[in-house]
Amino acid sequence: MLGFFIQRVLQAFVVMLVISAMVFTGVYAVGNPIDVLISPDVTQLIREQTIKAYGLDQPLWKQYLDFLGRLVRGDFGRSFVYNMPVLDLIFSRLPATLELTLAAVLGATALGVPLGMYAGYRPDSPISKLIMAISILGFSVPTFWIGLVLIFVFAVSLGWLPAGNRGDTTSLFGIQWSFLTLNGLTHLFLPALNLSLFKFAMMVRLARAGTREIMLTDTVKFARAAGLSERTILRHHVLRLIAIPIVTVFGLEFGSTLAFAVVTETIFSWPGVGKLIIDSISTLDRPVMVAYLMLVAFFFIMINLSVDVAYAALDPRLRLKRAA
Amino acid sequence: MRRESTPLSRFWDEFRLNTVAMVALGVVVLISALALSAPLISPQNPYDLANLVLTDARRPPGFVGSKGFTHWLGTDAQGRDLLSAILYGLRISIQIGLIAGGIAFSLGAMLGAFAAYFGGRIEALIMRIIDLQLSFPAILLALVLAALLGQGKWPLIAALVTAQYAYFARTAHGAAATERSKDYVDAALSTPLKASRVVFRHILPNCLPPLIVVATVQVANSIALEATLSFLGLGLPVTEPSLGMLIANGFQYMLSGRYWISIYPGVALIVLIVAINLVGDQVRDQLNPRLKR
Amino acid sequence: MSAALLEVSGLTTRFDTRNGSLNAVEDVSFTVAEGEIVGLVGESGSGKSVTGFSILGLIDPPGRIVSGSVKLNGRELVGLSHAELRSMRGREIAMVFQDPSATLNPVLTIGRQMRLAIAAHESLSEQAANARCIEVLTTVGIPDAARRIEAYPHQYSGGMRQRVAIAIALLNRPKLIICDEPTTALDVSIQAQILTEMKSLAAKLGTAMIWISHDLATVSSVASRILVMYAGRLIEAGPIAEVLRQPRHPYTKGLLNSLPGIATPGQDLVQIPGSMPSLIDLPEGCSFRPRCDFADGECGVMPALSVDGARSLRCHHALARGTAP
Repeated sequence: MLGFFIQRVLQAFVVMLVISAMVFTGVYAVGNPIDVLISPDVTQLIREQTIKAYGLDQPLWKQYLDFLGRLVRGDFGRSFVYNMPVLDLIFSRLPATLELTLAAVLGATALGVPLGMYAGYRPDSPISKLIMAISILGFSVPTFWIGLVLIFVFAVSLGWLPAGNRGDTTSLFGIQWSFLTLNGLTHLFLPALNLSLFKFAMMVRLARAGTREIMLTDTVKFARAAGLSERTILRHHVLRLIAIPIVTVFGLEFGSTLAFAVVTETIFSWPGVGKLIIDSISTLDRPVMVAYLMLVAFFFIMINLSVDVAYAALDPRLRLKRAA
Repeated sequence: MRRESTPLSRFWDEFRLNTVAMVALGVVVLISALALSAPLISPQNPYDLANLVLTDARRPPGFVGSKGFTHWLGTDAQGRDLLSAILYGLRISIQIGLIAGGIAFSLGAMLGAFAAYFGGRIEALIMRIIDLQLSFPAILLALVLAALLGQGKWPLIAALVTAQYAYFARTAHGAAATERSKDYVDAALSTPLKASRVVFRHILPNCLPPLIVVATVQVANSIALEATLSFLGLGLPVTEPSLGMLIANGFQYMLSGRYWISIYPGVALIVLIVAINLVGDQVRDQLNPRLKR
Repeated sequence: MSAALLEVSGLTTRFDTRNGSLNAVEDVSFTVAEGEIVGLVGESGSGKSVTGFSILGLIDPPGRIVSGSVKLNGRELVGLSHAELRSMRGREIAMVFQDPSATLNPVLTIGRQMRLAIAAHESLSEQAANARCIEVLTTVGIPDAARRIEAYPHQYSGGMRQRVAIAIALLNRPKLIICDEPTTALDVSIQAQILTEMKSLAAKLGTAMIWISHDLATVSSVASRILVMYAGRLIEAGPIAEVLRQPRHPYTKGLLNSLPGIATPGQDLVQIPGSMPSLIDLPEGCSFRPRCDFADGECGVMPALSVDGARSLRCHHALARGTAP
C-alpha cells in the first residue's frame, strides 16, 4: 500500500511540473509576461523597472526557474483590481467556496445514495419513478436556471430566504465560516441547494444503476439462498459494491462541483473563489487568472490522488496489482 | 414463423414500447423542426438591429408592438420579440450543440481508436493526456478557453469541443482495446484483409454502442454548457443571443417582477435538454448489456 | 425406507415474458429421502435450475410458482411468507451455485461473508461464529483455515472458492443442499476432487443433495438416483445404475449415446438430431416428438408419468428391456 501511495505522489508531482511548464509557456513564451505582472496602464518607466525586477530580460530557462521559485514561495503577484497579493486574495475567498461546495456535496450524497438505492431496488414502484423524474430534472436543467427559479420562488415571490450574499460568519480554527450562525445558514441554504442538485441527480442515477445491476447478480442470489434478509444484502453486499464507483465519482465530481460553484456564486453573489475568477476574466485581472489555473490544477491532482488511494482501499483486488 | 429483423429494427421496436421516450423523441423532433425553420416562421428577425424598437422593450406577453404584430411572449430589454429570439436562440443552441458534439465525437473517437491501434508508448502517452484532461471539469476548461479565445461562434465551439472530446476518446479507446484483444480480430488479421479494413469494418462497429451512449449524454451537456457559458458572458456576441444570453440579460429584471424575459427562454432550454436526456436514457438502457430485460 | 425429506408434487413454474408465457417447470414430482443424493439432469433450458430455485422460493418476477407443492418434512413451502422462506433458506435447505467467482462478493472477506450467513439465522458472538467458520472450512478441505479466513475471494484458487461456497452452504447444517452445476466451472482435475469430497461429506453429515447438472458423467459418480428433465417436464427417473444401464426414454438413451466416453474412436460422435424446442412454442403432444426416432401418431398426446416400482417414465414407447446401449 505504501509503495502504491508513494508511486502516486511522485506521479502527481511530475504532472504538476508539466502543468507549470505549460502555464509558463503559455504566459511567458507566447504571451507577454509583463501583462501578467503589471497593469497595462502604467508608465513606461515603471514598466522597465518591473522588467528588470522580474528578470524578464533573462533567458527563458532562467525565467522558468524564477517562476517555479516564485510559485513555491506562493508569490503569484498582485491583483490589478484589488491590489493585494493574489494568494492572499484567493485564500480569503476560499472558505466561502469550500463551505458552499462541501454543503452541496454532502447533502447530495447523503440524500442521493439512499434514494438511488431504493430506486434501484424497486425500479417499478411509483416512488422510484418520481425519484428518477426529479433526478432527470436535476441532471438536465442547467444549474444557473435552477438558481434563477430558486431565487424567484423563494426570495422574490415567497420572501422566505435571502436572494444572495453570504450571511454572518464566526471564526473556527482562525477561519471565518458562516454555517455556524443561523443567519449564515439561511444564506447558505439556497446556493447549496442549487449547487447540490446536479450532484444529487448524479448520485441517484449511479446508485440506482449500480443497485439494479447488482441485484441481478449471482452474489445477491447466493446471499438470498443463504437466508440473508434484503436489508442485510443491501447494507453489506450492495452498498459495499456500489461504494467503489460512487466514491470515485464523489471525488472527481467534488472538483467538478467546485468548478460549478462558479455559476452558483455568480447568481447568488456568493463571495467565493468562483465569483472571483469570473470577475477577473471580465476585468482581465491576469495575475488572478494565472494563480487560479495553477491552484485549480494542484487541487485536482490532489483530488485524483485521494480518489486513487480511496479506490485501492475499497477494492482489495487493486492493491496487489497497482503496487506491483 | 418469425420475421427476419435487423438489430436496428429490433432496437426501434423496443424503443417504441416506452411511451415516455417516444413523447420525448417527438418533442425533440418538433423543437428541432421549429428551430431550424426559425427564419421562416418567426414574426421578427431578432438579429437585425434595425428591426428593434426600443420603446417596445420589456413589455409583457400579449403586448401589441409598434410594428403591428403581437408579442406572444413579450419583449426583452432590447425590444426583441421574445418568441422570435427564443426560436433563433434554440436554433443556435442546437446548431452549436450538434456541431461541437459532432466534432468532439469524431476527433475523440479517432484519437481513442488510434491510441488503441498503435498501442505501446504512443497509446500510453495519449491516454495519459486524456486522463489528465478528464480530471479537469469541463466547465473550467471551457471557461478558460473561452476567456482566452474571446467571443464568437467558433471560439465557443472550440471551447466546447476541447471540453468534451476526451470522453469520446476514452470510451473509444476502451472499446477498441477490448475488441483488439478478441479472437476475431486475430482471425481477421490473419486473412489477406488490410488492417485498416479490419479496423473499420470489424472493430469500429463494435465500439459504436458505448460511443453512442456517451454521445447521448454529451449532446445535452453541450447545449447546457453553451447556455452556461453564454449566461456567464463568454460565448456568443450580444447581438446574436443564444438562450443562455437571453436568460442572463433577463436576470436583472426578474427581481422587479418582469419574469418573462428570463423564464420563457429558460423553459424552452429546459424542455429541449430534458427531452434529449429522456431519449438518451432510453437509448442507454437498451444498449446496456448488463441489464437483463 | 427412510421417510421422504423433500416431497415435490405437480410443481409448475411459469414465466410471463414480453414474448409470451412459458412454463419453465411443468408438473414435476419427485421425492428426496434423508441423506440421499439425487441427480437432476437435462440440457440448458430443460428447467432443472428453475426447479432448484422453485424449491427455495427464489423465483423472481416475471416468474412465479403457479401450482404444485413442495413439502419439507411435511411442511408446505409454497405460499410461505417472505420471513418464513428466509428463515428456511440456508438453515434447512441451502444452495451452491455454479460459478464461485460470481457468487462470492469480491470486496468482502470470506470470513465476513460466512459470518453474515450465520448471523442471518443465529446470533453468535464473533468468537463463536469464527470458530464455526474455521471448523467448516477445515471440513471442506481448506488448509490453514484460521489464517485464511480473513482473505478475499480473489486470493483463493477456483477450486478453493467453490469449497468456500460449499462451506457457506454447510454453515447452518441444512438437511438438504441443492447444487446447481457446482463443478462445471472448475478444471477437470479439481472436479474429480470436489465430487469425491462432496459425496463423502454428504455421507458423513447425513445431508441430502439434489445435484443439478447437464453432465451425466459427473452425476453418475455422485448420485444414487437420477431424474431426467426435458422441456420443463420430468421424463424419466430411477436408481442411477438401472437407468444408465437400461434407459427407457429415447432421450435418455440419446444422452447416453452422445457421451464421448462411450464413443468408438474414429467414429463420429452420436448426436440427438435437432434441438430442444423453445418453451414458448412447444409442439403438441410429447415435447421430444420432433427429435425422436420412435415417435408415431400416439405421440400427439402428452404422455403421463407412469410409475413402475422405483422407476418412472413419461413415454408412450418405453424402450424394450434388453436393448443394448
